[in-house]
Amino acid sequence: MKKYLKIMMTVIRNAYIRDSKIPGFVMVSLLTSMLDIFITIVFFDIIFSASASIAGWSFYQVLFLYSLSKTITSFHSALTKSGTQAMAHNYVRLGELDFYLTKPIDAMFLVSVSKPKIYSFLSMFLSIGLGAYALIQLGVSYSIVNAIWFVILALFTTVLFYYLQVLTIIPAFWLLQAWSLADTINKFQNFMRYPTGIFSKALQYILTLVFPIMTVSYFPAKVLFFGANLPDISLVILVTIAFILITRYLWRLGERSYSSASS
Amino acid sequence: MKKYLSYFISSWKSCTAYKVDYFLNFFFSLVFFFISFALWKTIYGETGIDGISNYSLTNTITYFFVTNIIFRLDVGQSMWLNNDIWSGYLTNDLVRPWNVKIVENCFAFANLFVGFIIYIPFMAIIYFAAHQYITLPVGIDGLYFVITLIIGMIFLLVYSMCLHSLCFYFGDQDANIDLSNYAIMILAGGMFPLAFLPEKFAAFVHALPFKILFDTPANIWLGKLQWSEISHSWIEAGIWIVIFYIIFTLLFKNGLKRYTGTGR
Repeated sequence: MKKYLKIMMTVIRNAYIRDSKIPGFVMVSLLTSMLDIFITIVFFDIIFSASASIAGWSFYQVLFLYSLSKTITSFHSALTKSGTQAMAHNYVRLGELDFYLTKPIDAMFLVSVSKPKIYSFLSMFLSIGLGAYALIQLGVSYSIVNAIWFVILALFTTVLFYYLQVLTIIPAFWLLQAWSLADTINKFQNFMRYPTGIFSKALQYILTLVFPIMTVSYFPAKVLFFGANLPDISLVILVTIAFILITRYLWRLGERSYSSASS
Repeated sequence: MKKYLSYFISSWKSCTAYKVDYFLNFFFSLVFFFISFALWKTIYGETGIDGISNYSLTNTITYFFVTNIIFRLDVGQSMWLNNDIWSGYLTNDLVRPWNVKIVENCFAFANLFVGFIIYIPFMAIIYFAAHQYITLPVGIDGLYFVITLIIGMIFLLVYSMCLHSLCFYFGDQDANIDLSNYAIMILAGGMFPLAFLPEKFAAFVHALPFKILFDTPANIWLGKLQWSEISHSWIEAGIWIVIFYIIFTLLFKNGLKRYTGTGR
């Protein structure tokens, strides 16, 4: 564990040195993130001008849901997203994965943190601020039990999101180039900003159990707003554990079929 | 002409070299439409309203169906000029006996062409899944739609070439291009109809030329625009195309003089 933390710190330090040399790039990326938040608020405003609630969720509850999903995705964008995307783009196709497999450390971890974009933490802080604003505007006092369960489940689903992200790029071991897979999680994370109730029962089932992208943001927020209950808590915990095991198993399977690339 | 056709065909083949990847990309592109579909069905269903800013549920779903098609023709996403300049790859094109500007666009259009053809079955999936909410253009509107789409593509092409050419002067424009693509998607109505926007914001957006990319063609499809409005949008876009083309020509011509081809 200590070794992993040390590597993580080194990688982050290197990323900081690199990113601080290109402040313009960082600024533009931050602007993109701010634009995304601004437009989402405008979009929600349009939706809620027509309807007081969607699927039983008010404007500020949905705004909080969005900020939670954005916080989790920004966190992974800062640490693991580019690394996993690079895996789908080049690492297998060009044989660059060799460099990660030959190190005395877990290859999945090393690949994931190979290209951190630490300026995405700025976007994460913006999202946290937005979430706090939404909670204040809701003006409701939350029970301490719900708040504690919210934090615990949010931590679980942050891990779950990471494993879903890795799971989507594992086919790259067999497909060699999988640009579409690198972008899959970006497309699916759009589901995370809405309450599950807007989708059909079949889609709800698929997106909370089969590919549980909605579980990531919906259940922690639900527990905070509508109270902690055993089915929701156990679902999040079990789904997270199940996807850790599935992803780990498939990654190992992929590693076994990896044959590097010729010159 | 023959050499460009050969390059177009070879670009087309290179686009589909990894077939599974290519098909998966289109499959996952359906996601955005189905999220919008579910969301707007819920909003209209829960409130029982007939329309938002004169858009009925059918209008809204059709709008997203049309924009989903237009996204497949987004030249801005298929252009690699910035990357070629920044990586030094442009040298390979400069030393060959052909026009670099045409070659750069050949690849972008080959990518779009084959992508659009392959996407047709996926469009059919969307149509069959939501056909009761999707209307087709009536009569001459279909032709106006296609013409507007082509004008929009040319507009985006010259605009994107300007943006990419800035790489000659300021280095890698990747982040700026991403920001610009994202902003244009919103300002052009790629995310939702511009009529949904608050009044002041809508007035600002309508003053910009980007609506020709999504909002205008989608509204022509829906039969919401009169001939006078359509012709006005064509003339307006035409003027902007000329302006951006002149800017691009200047940027590219002077940029080539600064190009060192060393890459990063």
